[in-house]
Amino acid sequence: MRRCRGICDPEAPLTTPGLPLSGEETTDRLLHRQPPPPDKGGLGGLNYCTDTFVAIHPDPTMSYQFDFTFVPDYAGMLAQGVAYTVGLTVVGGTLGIGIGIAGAISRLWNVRPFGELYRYYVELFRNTPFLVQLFLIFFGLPSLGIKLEAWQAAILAMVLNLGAYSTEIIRAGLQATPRGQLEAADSLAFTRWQIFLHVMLRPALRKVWPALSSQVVITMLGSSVCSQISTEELTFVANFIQSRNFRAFETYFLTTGMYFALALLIRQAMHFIGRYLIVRRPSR
Amino acid sequence: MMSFSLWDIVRNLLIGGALTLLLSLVAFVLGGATGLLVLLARIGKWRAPRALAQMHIELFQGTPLLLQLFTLFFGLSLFGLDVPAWLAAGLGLTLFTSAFLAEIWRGCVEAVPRGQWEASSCLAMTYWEQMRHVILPQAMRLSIAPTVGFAVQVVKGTAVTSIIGFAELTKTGSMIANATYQPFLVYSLVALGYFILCYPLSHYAQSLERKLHAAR
Repeated sequence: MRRCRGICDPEAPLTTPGLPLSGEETTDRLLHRQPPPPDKGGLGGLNYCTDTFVAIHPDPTMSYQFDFTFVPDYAGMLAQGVAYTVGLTVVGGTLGIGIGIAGAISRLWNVRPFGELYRYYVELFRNTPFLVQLFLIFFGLPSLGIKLEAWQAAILAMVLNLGAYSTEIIRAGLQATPRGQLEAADSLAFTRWQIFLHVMLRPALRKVWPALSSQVVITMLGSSVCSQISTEELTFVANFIQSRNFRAFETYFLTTGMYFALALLIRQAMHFIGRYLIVRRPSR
Repeated sequence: MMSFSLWDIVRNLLIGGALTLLLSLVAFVLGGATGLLVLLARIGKWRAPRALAQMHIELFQGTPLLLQLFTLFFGLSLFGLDVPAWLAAGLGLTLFTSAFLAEIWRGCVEAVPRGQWEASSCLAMTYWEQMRHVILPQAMRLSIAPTVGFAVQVVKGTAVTSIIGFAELTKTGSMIANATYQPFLVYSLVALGYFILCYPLSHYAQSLERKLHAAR
């Protein structure tokens, strides 16, 4: 509340800005205030808002009333934020798993020079925080002459991050291919490509799909820090809303709930994709 | 204009790095203790604590750490508490860690063969005696590798606390990058700092895992 007054009530300062008031004093002064000055455009409206807020909550520390009435006004923005987050996750997930498959092959068959490169890449990205990777890409790369928009940087960071994790996950799956299966496929005169696709990759993905799904969900949740480079995803929208209505707790509480729902949804979607694209046996 | 030598940058980053290390340790230790309680509630016989523990785990695994921190940071101040960033950071990371560790450890407890439970109950051990002398020691052996692996996640998680204003490694890095106009250098050093903290842990976790599998 103190902050409120400092920001939107410059005309009628109740006390020296920055000097704390005791609870009683605040209540006392606020309750015996002059009616709000007539609207002079701009700040006047805000003034009035602040006064209504104060009238309802004479002392916010004693009686905070939750107020979710702002939700309908921002429903469109929130929906856009959700769409952005989902978009980031879909693109990041698809390309990330693609990089993971390529990486797992290079590591497993030691394709030069990619096998070695992938090893460094995986260790580097798995042992540094996503936020730092994001900052390095968005703030750091321009000094090397590579300028990226916020959304491009966010997608690049997500793809690289998920790529590193899925490389390791998929490699574990590929390594678990029983030797006998390979020999059996060989004796059935499968081509190298057929062996890889049907005997190695598909069963491997089937084995590691739950782990891969969790990693995609973790990456989706991690994408909330993309708001820090002004990617307009869900958390960015939440930050925007709470800076408008000063209802920080309600806004973040609601957004947290939305992320929770999104996590469940994406897990279900991954389950569905796994069931129909990966696990499905080839038609006979 | 003020100029910064490389040593100035590194020196300040080291201070931030020390705070990152401290926060990670606090979160890991307190989170481990809380996680043990959550674990006991989660695998216990009573229904209400079990449901609560499950909710705790689902909630903290299913929402972004950043929003947990925001909600704590702004939520606690509704009760009239003045929450400094370090407190919100420590509390948030502790809860986050406890949820993940409880779930990891539950997997380990369930990996202990059923016969062990039956044998120990044949010896007329009470539930707590079974836990204390038979199940937890065996589960603990299984849990070391994934727990060390998760420690890496905790260290990386501390980076997010920079957003609510806790001046650890990433926050220090941002401030220095803004002051020196050398974001690539500074963020590379920050990444290097995290790598130095995390790589030994993940390497150790891997070697532990290999050892455990070899023993089987």
